[in-house]
Amino acid sequence: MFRIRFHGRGGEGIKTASRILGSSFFFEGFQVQDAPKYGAERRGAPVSAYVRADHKQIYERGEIHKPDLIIIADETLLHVTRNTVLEGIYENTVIFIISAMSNSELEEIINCGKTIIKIAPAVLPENYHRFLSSITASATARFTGIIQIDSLIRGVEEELKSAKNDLILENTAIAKKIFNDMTSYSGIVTETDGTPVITEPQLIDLPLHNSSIATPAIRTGSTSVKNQTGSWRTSRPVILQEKCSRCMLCNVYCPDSAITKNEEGFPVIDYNHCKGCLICREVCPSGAITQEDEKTSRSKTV
Amino acid sequence: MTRQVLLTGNAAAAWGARLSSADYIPAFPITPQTEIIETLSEWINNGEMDSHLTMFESEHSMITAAGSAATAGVRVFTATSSQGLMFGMEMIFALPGWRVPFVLVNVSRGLASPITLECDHNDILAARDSGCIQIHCSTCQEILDSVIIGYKISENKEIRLPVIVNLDGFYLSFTREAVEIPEHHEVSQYLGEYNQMNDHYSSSAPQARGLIVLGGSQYSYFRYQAHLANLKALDVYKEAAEEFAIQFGRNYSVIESYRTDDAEYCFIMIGSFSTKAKSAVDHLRSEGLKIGLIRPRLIRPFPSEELNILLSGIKGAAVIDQNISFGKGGILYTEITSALYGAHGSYPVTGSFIGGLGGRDITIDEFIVIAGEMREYTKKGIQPRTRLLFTGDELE
Repeated sequence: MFRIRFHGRGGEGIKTASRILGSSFFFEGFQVQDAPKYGAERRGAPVSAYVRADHKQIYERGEIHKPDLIIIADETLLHVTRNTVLEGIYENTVIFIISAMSNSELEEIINCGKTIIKIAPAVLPENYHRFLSSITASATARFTGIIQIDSLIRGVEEELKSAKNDLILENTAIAKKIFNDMTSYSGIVTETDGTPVITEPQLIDLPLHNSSIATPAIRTGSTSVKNQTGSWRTSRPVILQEKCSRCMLCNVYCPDSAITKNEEGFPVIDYNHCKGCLICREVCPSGAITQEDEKTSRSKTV
Repeated sequence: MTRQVLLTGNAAAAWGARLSSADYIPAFPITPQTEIIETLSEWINNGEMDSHLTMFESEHSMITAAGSAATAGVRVFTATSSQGLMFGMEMIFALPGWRVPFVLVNVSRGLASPITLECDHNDILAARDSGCIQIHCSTCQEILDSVIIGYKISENKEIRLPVIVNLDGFYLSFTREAVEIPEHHEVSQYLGEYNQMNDHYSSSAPQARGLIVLGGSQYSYFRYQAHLANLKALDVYKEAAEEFAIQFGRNYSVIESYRTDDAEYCFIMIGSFSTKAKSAVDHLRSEGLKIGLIRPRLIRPFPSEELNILLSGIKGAAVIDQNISFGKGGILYTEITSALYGAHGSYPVTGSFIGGLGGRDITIDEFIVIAGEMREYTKKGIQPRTRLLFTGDELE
């Protein structure tokens, strides 16, 4: 069985990528199971997706704990949910990442001695984010060495069939290119037989705790403070003090309480928790809030 | 020609309704069921399905509408999940007494509180004593087929009870698997036309249902009739499943058994995680343990006799419950052991394991631990204590 796990952020097309791959396997005659995993969150939040493909009926279900291939579509996840992204790596696991980092930097950060295949954004079209589904699915299809180009293209067309024709054509073109570019890696990801057994779980007898502990309640803001949801942002609002009238409407409307008032009465954005919804920009009566691309802003601050 | 395509569990449920030619769909969205409603409304909008969908302001009204429309003479499909089922629960308990047929799909999701979106079976098992028939699914194909079989049982003139088809949130609802879609005309042939029986609502022939009866005698009569009809549904199910197998080639016995022929041990569970139990069975078999899986598809009516037959010869049975009845334990465990008590012959050492609450995974390793524990206790001949599948790491 092939066990393949995708990691990305909501809105990047990770679920679609897993479906393109699932359909491609299916068109090759495999039994397939593909499933996304996400919470009640929104665009930008970490999501994963699983694809299993086998020659016989698949009984496994849900999360893949021991993946043959991990796809990291968004390298920032390595800083945010590293343990989730790299969970269950074993001797045959291959890691595929889209990253601007150098190979040595990547090896240092991932630090597991596994095969890492990288595509640098520089070799992709400038607007490659629009095609992440097709790029990652296509590379993955090539890595299996089993999926033929026809099945891949059929998979792309099937999963994007509700999109406009131009967009489908752009996707199939880039899928073909990536499939070709990755030729040297054909067959690098291999199937494993049997059921993966990991470690014996240490079951405990859960003791009775005082009800004040055993209540689902948040008594302080610490949970939210520790969860740095600012990493979900793709665009950030920036306040221009010279235009700001200190009306604080932005503070009122911010759904994440990420805007506070400083000593001079100006609003200040907590970028560790601002998710980049830009409602503040919409409601600002004096046009004092602008929108900046997150990646550009982040590199400026670094 | 039948087609095989990749479908999510939700899409498979929608296909079941479409192929069964549901005339009327009262609806209210809730995660993880929403995709069912979206799919059906899209088909209706595109003219691919001839049906009428009405969005309600709550599940209570939605389920009332389902019962009313079925009484008035149309085939009804509806779907909900978790808190939605709870909100409609007053009507879930009322409608079996109306003796009206329809199919409701429940996408299992744990109940509050704490709040979760992920799967366990406390929602559907809260409807256990309602009088509705319950079919529990483990694959996407089974969902589609069970909706169709559900109408066949529900509309039987001796039964006339709502059927709930249950599928697991996320693990089936959002998971795609290969599903064979039968031809519409073949399903129509299998189900026949909706049988309105004697009900004709018109201004010249008014009717009322679900009336008040005081004094207890009439109440007892009607309640016990619903019970007898529910019991009878076991035979009707068998006939319907047999007919389905002949026409569509897929066999759904009241209890699925996997590698139990020579088994000394078995897992007993319902829902999608039972396919995981199958891979655990395969693994444990490769290591020489004679183990199998027993998966009741019907929970109401409960197939006690069939269960006893399957369990004869089994020495140790681990019941895995994805639910919990506070103050008692696993609901399925209680159901299984009560069905065994007083039955002929010896019955197995039966262990209760509670796991998979709120979508928590049950890993293959945990199935192996369960099997090991059952082996140990069976040798000693004592019942193991109830175990929660929960590790030390999870408490941190």
